[in-house]
Amino acid sequence: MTDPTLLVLASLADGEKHGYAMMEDIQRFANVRLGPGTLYGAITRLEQRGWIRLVGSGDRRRPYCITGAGREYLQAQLTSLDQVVKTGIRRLKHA
Amino acid sequence: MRPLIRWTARLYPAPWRDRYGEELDALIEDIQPEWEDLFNVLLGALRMQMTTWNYLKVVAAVALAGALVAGVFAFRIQDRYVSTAVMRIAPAGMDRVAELQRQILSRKILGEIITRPSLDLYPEDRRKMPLEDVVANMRNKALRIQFMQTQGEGVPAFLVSFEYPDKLKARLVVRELVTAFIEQNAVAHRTRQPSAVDILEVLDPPNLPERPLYPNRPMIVTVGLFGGAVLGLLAVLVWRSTVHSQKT
Repeated sequence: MTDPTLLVLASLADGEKHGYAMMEDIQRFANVRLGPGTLYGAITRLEQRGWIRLVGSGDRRRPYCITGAGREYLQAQLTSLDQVVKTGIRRLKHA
Repeated sequence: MRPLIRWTARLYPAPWRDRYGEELDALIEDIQPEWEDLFNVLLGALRMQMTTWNYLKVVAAVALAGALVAGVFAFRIQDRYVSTAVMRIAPAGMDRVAELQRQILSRKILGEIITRPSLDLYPEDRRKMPLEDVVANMRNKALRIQFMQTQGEGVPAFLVSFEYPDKLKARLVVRELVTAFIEQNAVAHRTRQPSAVDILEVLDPPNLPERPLYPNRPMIVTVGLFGGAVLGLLAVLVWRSTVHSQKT
């Protein structure tokens, strides 16, 4: 899974994070290094769609959190992915 | 590296930078920058610019890019000058000129013109291919002998022209060819050959072309501009249909 929007949503699912924390987290759990341009492209799209929002605005390193709509979208995408993964593994075993 | 990435981040659209610029700068300060990050930020900036452009700007930008590419192409093409002379012939000599022409455009005479040190034609081609091929190219692509009627009196005549990147050499070659026609005709007369023409004289001497005939650079740039505009329009249409299909 390398879709930056899903990776950002998955990173924010356990709590608010700023850009660098998201990059580190994503590298740790998905082994994918998102470049600064890719990360902020995803953040821009996600905020426009209302799936994440800014938390506070004082520091330059502004944290974001996932919204209810974002959580629902992530849930739907992960369920779909889970279905694909389970089917793929089952078929590989029987092949 | 870091200052370069920070500078590249300034390529994002101003409204985007007002909202996310400080955060992106802070992120660039936090990471261990790599070359990939530079291209990543550049690509991100370009993508963000594209999303804020209206269709007219996209079409205009692609049209300008087309004109620029065409301009570079046009200025890389070598100039081609064409020198021309007109020779008058007796009405009865029309058929005989063809025989003279065959003699003058022979490998012997053209080869001698090409390799003459004062002319030294096609030096690059001569390094790459045999002289026979260079002569054939000159005969088929650069030389033109065409029958015509002079205006007013309607006297039979023919035109001798030669195309070359050097305008002085273009004129010298036409002069050589005109001289060769007269000399060959004189020989034919002396030896009473059937190809001898009674009247063969220069009506218009070889001219020195002031402007190149090719390339027509303004035309190439204009074609590039309009080609780019059409390409931009197509890109916009594809873009719109993609966005529309994603929304539905």
